[in-house]
Amino acid sequence: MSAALLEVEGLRVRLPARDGPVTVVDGVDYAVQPAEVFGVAGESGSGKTMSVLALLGLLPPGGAADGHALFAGRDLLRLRRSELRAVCGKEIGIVFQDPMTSLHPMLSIGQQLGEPLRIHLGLSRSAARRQAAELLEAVRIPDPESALRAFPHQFSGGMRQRVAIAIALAGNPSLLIADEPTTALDVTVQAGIIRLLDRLRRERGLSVILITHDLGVMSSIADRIAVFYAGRVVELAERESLVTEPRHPYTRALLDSLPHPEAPADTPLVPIHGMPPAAGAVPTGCAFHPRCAFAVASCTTEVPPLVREGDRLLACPVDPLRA
Amino acid sequence: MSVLELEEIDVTYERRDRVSLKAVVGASLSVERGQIVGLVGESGCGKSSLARAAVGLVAPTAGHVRFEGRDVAALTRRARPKALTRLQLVFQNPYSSLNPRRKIGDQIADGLPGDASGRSGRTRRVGELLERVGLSAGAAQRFPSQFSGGQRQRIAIARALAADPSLIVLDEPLASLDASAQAQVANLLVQLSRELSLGLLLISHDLAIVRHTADVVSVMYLGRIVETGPTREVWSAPLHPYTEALIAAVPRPDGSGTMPDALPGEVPDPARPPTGCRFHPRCPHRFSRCPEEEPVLEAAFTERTVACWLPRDPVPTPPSRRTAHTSSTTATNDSSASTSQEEGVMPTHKGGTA
Repeated sequence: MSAALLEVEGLRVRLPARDGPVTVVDGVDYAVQPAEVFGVAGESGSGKTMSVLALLGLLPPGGAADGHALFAGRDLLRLRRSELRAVCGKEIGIVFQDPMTSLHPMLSIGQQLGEPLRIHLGLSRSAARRQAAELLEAVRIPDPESALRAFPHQFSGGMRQRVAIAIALAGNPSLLIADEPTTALDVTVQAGIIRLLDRLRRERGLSVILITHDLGVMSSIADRIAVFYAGRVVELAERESLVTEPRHPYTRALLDSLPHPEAPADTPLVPIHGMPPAAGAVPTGCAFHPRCAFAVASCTTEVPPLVREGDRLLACPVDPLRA
Repeated sequence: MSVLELEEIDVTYERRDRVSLKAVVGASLSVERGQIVGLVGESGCGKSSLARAAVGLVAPTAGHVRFEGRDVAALTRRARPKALTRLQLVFQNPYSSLNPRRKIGDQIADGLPGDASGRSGRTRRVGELLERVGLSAGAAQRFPSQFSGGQRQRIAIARALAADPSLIVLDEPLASLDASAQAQVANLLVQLSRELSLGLLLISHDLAIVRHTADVVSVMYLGRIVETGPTREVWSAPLHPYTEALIAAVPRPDGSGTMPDALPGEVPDPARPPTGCRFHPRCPHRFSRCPEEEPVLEAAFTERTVACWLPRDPVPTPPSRRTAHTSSTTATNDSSASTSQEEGVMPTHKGGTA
């Protein structure tokens, strides 16, 4: 494998809570390769978003991260605030779930897109304007020149998300972090955004960390997928083997609970028994054991390490789904 | 007799600029007891307006809503007629539809008929309702904040069940839930409908989940119902190009890396709907008649209706247009116009810049 673009090691994130800090990310390791779409899957509260916000110094007030996150020779978790600011938005772009709240309602698209171009690339006003129009063209906003003069409310949700992606691309980043980028959109529009991300990856060699709870979206575009549960990665594998031959009981359960468009219509959805643990109340041993159909005694006491099992990383020593 | 009948409903809102906006135009549907009817469409298609008209939260500007054979009048300051309490509504967001400061037992008890026997009888009934939706009777003493999103949605359903309804309208009941909770609540709805012979009108933008729950589905586009039929048949052989596009846009969790198909263009402004068929500007199969005349819903095959001018095959056939696009790292030299189309943008369309 070629040199990784981003290597995360032993990442731990703690957030303040009423009864003292709680650990929401508990020892996470992964690497993102150049031009790869790396999927981070999991239900709400699994720590998938916090594990990525920590890299950018965007944790909520009082949050603390330790571990290592090597990006282009630097450890993001050791950078000073000012150094991190030069990386975020330039070498690493980020797109959030809701383009209605991530764009400024009172500033024109041209102003919002021009700012990172002038700050990160040092462009003049007129050069920034030209570059901004090109970025809008790249994300397929029709008629970029007039779009620059428009305001966010004049666009539909899908178009706003395209604008947000154009802003994230302004510094010509090598890594794009997309946190639930299609969750607020209709399926017909979502399909367009998925295709856009795929083309940017192909044309620009952009790496994408795609955070989503939707394994359908994940399955369309991610090259590799990491499944998060209660602040840990429980399984990490290539897309196809993870989705067609899941080995962790949680991955399997998550897939079984989804409606499959190709399955016979009377296939019942198989819900996962119980619900994910709250941060601060994570069960001992394997966090999934109270919901797991295959749990044995050792699952309740020992935290299973994430170890290489053939073509994947798996945190389940019982491995009941081994073929 | 259908428990709920919507007949040629129009819902019109007056915008601030005095332009009247027809959110729903001539929509008809019916729900039987024990039947789940799905109503799907993109945001802004009028599905929530139709749901609100069905329970009397907005007054339709034309048409009739009949519940158990009697007209549903729009809600006023007066109490609803008793008979109408058997028509219930569950909202999308269980975080805002439950009062955070009251115990859930009390909130469920609000829905019980006034003549229920005494305090102990009411407590027992609340316990039964909680168990019916898969919670414990002891949960009655707790507050909404002590429950997850999926559990809160169960509580909202229990509250609707308290009134002993024959029909519940559910507006996006699954949209704010995680995958595992979504499956739990979807299965609960199917079970309740069968066991209590309850009619359910399930509003959703998620065709995949509707397919697993609804017996019959109606597809709405820009205020009009464009196709209705048994869910299974609509899914396997959609008759309307819009239905076909909605199905093709659903991402498949099969690991193959097949990309869903985007539908080019955007939902037009409902205050200025396109002439003729409302879907024609985005329709890949449009022809000369489509911008000229608006198609009406007509019967097609058994139990199915569709509003489309395209000639139909003698038997329903699965769509052949669908092409598999796989995500590969090999660059293709598509022109900007064709990638725009694939990515869901009309190249000629002046995007949003009003």
